[in-house]
Amino acid sequence: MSLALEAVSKRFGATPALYDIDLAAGEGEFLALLGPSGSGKTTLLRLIAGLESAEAGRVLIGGADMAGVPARARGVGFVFQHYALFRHMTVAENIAFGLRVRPRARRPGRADIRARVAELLSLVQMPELAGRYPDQLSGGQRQRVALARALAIEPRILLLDEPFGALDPEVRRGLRRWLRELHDRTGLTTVMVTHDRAEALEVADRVAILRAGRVEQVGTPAGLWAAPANAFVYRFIGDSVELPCTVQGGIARFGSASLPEAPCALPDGGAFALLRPHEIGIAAGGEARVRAVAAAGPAVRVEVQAGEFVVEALLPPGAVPPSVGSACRLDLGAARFFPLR
Amino acid sequence: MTARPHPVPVLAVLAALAALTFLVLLPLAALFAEVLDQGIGRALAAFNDPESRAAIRLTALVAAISVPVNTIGGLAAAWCIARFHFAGRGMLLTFIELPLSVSPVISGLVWVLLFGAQGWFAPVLERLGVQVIFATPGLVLATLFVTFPFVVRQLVPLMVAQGREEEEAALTLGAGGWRMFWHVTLPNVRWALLQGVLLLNARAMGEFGAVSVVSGRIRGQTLTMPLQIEALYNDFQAPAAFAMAGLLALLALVTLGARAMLEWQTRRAVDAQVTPA
Amino acid sequence: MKGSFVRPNPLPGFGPAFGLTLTWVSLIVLIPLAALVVRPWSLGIAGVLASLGSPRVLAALELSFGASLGAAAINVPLGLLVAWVLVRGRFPGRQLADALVDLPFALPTAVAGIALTTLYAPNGWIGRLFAPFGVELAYAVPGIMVALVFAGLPYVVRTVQPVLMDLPADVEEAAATLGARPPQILVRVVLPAILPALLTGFAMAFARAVGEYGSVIFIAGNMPGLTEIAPLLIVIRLEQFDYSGAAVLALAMLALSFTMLAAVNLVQQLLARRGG
Repeated sequence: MSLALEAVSKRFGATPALYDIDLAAGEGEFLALLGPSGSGKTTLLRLIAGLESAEAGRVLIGGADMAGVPARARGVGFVFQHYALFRHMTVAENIAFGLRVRPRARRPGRADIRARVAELLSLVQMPELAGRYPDQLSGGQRQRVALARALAIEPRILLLDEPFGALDPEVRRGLRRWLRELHDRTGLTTVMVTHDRAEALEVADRVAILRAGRVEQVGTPAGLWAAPANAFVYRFIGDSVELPCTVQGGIARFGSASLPEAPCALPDGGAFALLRPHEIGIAAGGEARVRAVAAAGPAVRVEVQAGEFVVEALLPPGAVPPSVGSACRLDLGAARFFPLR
Repeated sequence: MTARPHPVPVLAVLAALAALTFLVLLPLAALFAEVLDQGIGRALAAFNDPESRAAIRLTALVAAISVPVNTIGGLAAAWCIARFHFAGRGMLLTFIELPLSVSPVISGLVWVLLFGAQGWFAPVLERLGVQVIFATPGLVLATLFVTFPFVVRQLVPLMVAQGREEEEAALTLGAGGWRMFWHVTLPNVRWALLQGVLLLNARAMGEFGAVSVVSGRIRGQTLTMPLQIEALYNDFQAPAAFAMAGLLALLALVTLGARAMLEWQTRRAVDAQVTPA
Repeated sequence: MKGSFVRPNPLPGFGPAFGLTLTWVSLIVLIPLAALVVRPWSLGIAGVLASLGSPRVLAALELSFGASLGAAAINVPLGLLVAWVLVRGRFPGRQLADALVDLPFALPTAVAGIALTTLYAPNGWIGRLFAPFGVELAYAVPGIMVALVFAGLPYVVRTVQPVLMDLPADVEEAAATLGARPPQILVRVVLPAILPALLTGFAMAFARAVGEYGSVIFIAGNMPGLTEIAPLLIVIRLEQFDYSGAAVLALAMLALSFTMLAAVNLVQQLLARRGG
């Protein structure tokens, strides 16, 4: 089912948490909310679930305004960051909870509940753990139980709050792939909150980048990578090198003889250039000097001293690394310029 | 457990044990020695006395009223304090804990000031023909005051530590308020709640100062077990007093034993929450 | 009222639960205490002062607060010792000793009273050791102190114990590697860490001792002006139907106790600030 937020604002006491958020996820879409901690992404997720109330704006699920609809009637599957499994219930009881608390008229029979639990347990690949208690499970297993529990109520949309936040990196990668496959199979509209860019860019169809309660940009992972709307987005979605410069007459100068001038479309004034390390070219001969070379790993990392700046560049695999101390020249042709504010 | 850097000197252990022996163990031993000296048979016979039986019945009645009232009130208060942020939350908690720092005698006195012969409500009570002070209602009120904070003090720290995510999860899964309370909130605090109820009951049955002020010491009518002990003791019926004291001491020991077990359960529940497997 | 008074929260039941709580607190605690605060002034200021100024009242207050301070002061090193031994010691029966500490919490005061009296009376197991030297324990101030130390001990032990348990061993080890000797470690590393807990324990033991009634009246002898504690005097005034006189004394006791507790609180805040 589709999801839409229209001009949603929220404050905690005197501190605003979300400003005027407009955001939509189409039927079956996987949307990630990516942002640093404190950017309001979890609050946004809780607003959708009905666990927080907005001061202004509308939340629409399947086109219906959710104003006045309590959390328990929204039909939203919510997976909490720390799973929030019921500690005194077994895995099977946890998963069955949402079915057992339905009003009698809509409550499935015992056998149906049992069948549904078994089905979900096999979906999350842990049928043998039905009788375990949450404290007898690993973090990854708890995560999957929480997901199965949320799916049991056949939610209209699925909300995931930092679903992999508490897991170690190895487990995270596996679960990430699994979650995407699960999404493709169920076709559920899914919103996931994360502060991990790799996670968001790898799993989601579209990513909304939040900062300090505002949406900075929404786009597909490829779109964001190709055309970041501002410096924050550029920095947040990948490693970057930052160089301050001055723009005059369409030319950016870096105030150092060892950095080449570059054309720049910004008006005259202070600015800075952002580059991905792998977009920086290094050629022999010039005013800059190679400070250090780390050749282990898939790419060669080269540290260049250019005037007062230390620039880190990544050379493509197979490139012959320059020798430490040799003179070199930097190619900044791929730089994007942003005005100083 | 890491190895402790400095083992405790034997002398310190002995000193601590001596202190516990002289302060706690020996008095208890002396008490039970007095009971055993007179012979179990005679000690049990003391409970055949109609006055003693009336005291036991009265104590049970007072506890049977105070325990549920303060348990339900305590649950409601813990729900508000541990799950909501509201103006005056800290003040409410202070008020609830106030009886802990008030002398038992004062806890009884306040009821005399309200309902006693010269109390605020004396004229009303007289018109209604209801007696509160020097009667069972006064004993119940004094006990309610004294045992007021027990459940809240057990529940609030645990509920705060557990957080409210599980309850929120229950809501998103479609549970209504009561279902959430019965299936999630209550099971999560059951051991701590039981512990609070046990302490509340022990205090309700063992309270002396507060009830002595409102009792009026009418034999066979307003003497609870602790008051009966005092009456017997002052009457030079020491053996009967010791017999009843022995019974209350047993209650205290059983309470402590049960509490130790429950504490272990609660700690397990909190650990399971805090440490990921 | 809900909008601004309580922070919005999806959890249900605040309204009814808060209503119930407020009713419960008001009926059982607030209204009765209000009666206590209001009642004394029916005597007028002069009457209150006269009622407080009598030598018997002053003696009772002096005994109650003096003995309670003394007992709390004894409880601090004693409780620290017991807590330390329970946390760090390894000896058979440690768990039993740990359980014993709670007994004064759970034992009805009247039972504690006659048990302690039996033990410390001139013909009791311990009292008899002192009787030949003309030292009276029961029916005298030392007996009162014993009862108050008994009542207050668990408060100090149970506040210090968790802090000692949380005190990481590596801090002491670090101090040792830096060349500190055991007494220096105790004074410079351990004591500052547990000082706030010790103060809390002191305050709780003191508050409990001031109000203690049941165990004391059995062992005290209750001689007016000598071994008559303030709570007993309240009871005596009530028995004479001097409600206002009883309320004056009760209010004075509460005021003195809360002043003491506030002072301890202040010291703790100063300590916390110094500790950063």
